[in-house]
Amino acid sequence: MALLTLNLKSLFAIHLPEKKALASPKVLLKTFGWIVLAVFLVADFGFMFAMMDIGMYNALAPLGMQSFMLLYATVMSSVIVFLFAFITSLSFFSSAQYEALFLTMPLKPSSLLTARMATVYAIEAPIAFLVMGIAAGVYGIKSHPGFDFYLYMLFNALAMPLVPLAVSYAVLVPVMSVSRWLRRKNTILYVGGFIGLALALGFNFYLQRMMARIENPVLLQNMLTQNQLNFADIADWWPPAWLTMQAIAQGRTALGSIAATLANLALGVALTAAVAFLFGKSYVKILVNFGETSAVKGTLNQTQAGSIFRARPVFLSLVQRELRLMNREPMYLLNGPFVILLLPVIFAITFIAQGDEMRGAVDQIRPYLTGQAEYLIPAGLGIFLATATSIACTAFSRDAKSLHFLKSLPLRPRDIIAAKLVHALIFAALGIVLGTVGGAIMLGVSTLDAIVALLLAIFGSVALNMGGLAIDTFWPRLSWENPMSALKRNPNAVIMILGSMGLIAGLGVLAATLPLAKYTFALLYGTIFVAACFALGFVLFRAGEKRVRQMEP
Amino acid sequence: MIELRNISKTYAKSGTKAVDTLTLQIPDGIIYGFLGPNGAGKTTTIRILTGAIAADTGSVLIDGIDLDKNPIEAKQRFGLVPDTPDLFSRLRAYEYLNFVADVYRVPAAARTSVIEHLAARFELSDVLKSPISSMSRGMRMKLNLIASLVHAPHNWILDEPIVGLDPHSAFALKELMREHAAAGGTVFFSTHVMEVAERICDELAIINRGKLIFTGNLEALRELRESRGAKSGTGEAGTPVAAEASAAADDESLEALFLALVEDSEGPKL
Repeated sequence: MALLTLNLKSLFAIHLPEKKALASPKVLLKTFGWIVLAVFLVADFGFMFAMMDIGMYNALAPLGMQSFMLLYATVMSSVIVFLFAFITSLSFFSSAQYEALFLTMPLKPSSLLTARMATVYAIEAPIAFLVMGIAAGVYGIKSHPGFDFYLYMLFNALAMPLVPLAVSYAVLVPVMSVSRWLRRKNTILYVGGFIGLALALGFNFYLQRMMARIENPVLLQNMLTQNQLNFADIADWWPPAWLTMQAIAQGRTALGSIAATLANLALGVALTAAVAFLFGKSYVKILVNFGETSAVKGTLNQTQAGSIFRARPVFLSLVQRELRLMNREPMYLLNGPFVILLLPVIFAITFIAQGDEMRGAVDQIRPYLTGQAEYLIPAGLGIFLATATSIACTAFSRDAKSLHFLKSLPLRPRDIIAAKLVHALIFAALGIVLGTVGGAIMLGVSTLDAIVALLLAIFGSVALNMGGLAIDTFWPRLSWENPMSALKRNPNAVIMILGSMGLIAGLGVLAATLPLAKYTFALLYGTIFVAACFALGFVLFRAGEKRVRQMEP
Repeated sequence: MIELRNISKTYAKSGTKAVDTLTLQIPDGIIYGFLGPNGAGKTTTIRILTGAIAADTGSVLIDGIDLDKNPIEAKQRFGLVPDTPDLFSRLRAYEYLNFVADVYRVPAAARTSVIEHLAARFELSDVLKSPISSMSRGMRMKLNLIASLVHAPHNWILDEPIVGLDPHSAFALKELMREHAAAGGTVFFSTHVMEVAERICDELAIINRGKLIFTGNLEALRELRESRGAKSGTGEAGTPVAAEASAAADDESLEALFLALVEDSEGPKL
């Protein structure tokens, strides 16, 4: 229990302020903001599932198949929980080096593994509860089942994550025991990251398909009846899903439902306990051997030394340092530069999943894709991708741990700032190629419009990246223990992404409403961006230089 | 030569006065130890000295160059070994050394020669291609030592350099410090271990709670020890009581004296 408590506190790290601290408006506002964010997150996902469930129920009720919604929710919950359990279990191995410290304490191997599995369960259970709970709510409002229905849904939702948890560790522990390659933090981060991305893209694809059909009952019925076998198959051979359906299906008896629920719970607990007992020692061995690396050994001879110890201009060396430090940190790479590739992929998935609907929508708005829209849309796409990397707006935050040393070197602050900007612009260029050039090709705009779009995208992305860098220069996040905090938990990244989206949307609305000639907007926006570049240049390289001198982690 | 004139620093967030009107002069040609317990202000002083943080008041001169007015020129004149070895762990060792050498504009031939020599001395020659993240703490410290000397600085500033070094490397470091001082350079290093300072320092300063409580050489410190020992016993020189007091003073190590000085500077306890 002590281990579990420690794990949960470390994982969630929620520190509610003391009562007297709430007297401060800043603390009160921050606390309120966190609460709103948490509610928003839950409500966002909840709303999505609720809409799907309601749409499904309404489409299937005329056919008397409304209980299929419960089958669907059960299978969805099973699949989501299974995938999340696997990824979460895998990703927790990245903290194995810290967990290994517990090995100095008198703890049984099975206790260590049980505590870790319980921590994963604490993440999975709310997800299962959300999916099943919403389905129960929708079904309950529409069909008015008895009170026992809700109890069966609740307890089966709680049982849902247990078997996936046991299976995940039953697979991961033996694999990691034999694979030295997997027993490295970087590997875990990359593998987990890519699996997570694939999961997110797959889920997005599925969601897009479902959303397209929710509005069309005929399509939905066709899809579900064609796929009914698949859903039923999953529910048949996946025991937690089968037992859940036995507990909540129409025509069940109370005894049958209770037995199925208890069996579901017992199965989950028994399997989890068995895995903890059987794999505890192997798990400990993984912790002990985790992160073993070999230094690349080999004495340098004259030729090798000559080739690797080469003098470069200071500025180039600074830029190279920026590139290496970002691209070699898995969390930074996957959440930073990689986003340029990821966003177009998500867009492509949407297009594929909702192909007909998207083509129809494009045809409907095509008459409006004239005039300034022909270059503004590709420009907007490029600007958005160019600023979505969060490189500029987290530049100093990511450097917090080496800031003292960097400032002790004979470097002009303006050179440090310039190197960070150049780093951001290298990837901005990639974003512009994919967004603006790709968008121009997709929309089939003229060469002149493509050139105008490109110029606007360049000026716009330079201005926005300079803006992001200015924000992080004056308000960097310099206190963190985990490098991820410098990027993902950095409000500057959120400000920049939302800010750039808002700006692009605002400029778009302006262009749609003002009755000006086609290329007047290009001139207007181009001038604004260039002026912004000059202004931000002054801010960064004058005031920013002074700020860097005063910067203290 | 390094000079700190009336340096004060208060951390705004905590309100702690980390350094309080500190004045220090570190001449050339000696090894100068900067001692103090944990939290005394050693690292803050070194960070002010190297331009990493700005002092609230006072000035720093490196070889007569004002750090505030000519920071680039002043920073060219020293090499720093920081207290945290975990810098740029995503770089390979040679990439880190190249970066530092590029910043100091060290030509390729010169840097190759210095790095090869120092890497051999610190037994790092066969891991220069390794990622820094794969190195132990001691190896990273040694890498920082090499990086700090790649441009052959006149002033060498080290923040807790002995921590994490194996005995062979600690010995090599002390030898290097002596050579650097003997060649006319300045060596300024901080430590909280009196034993280390006793063995290698020519002069030292002791800081506690941001204030200097002793500056001088080891001889002065020993005289202080003897005068404290004389105060604890009474009688004229040559008398049995005086001999007894002198013997008691000899028993008090410099470490104990250091601790006593620190305790005295904290004032009476309630």
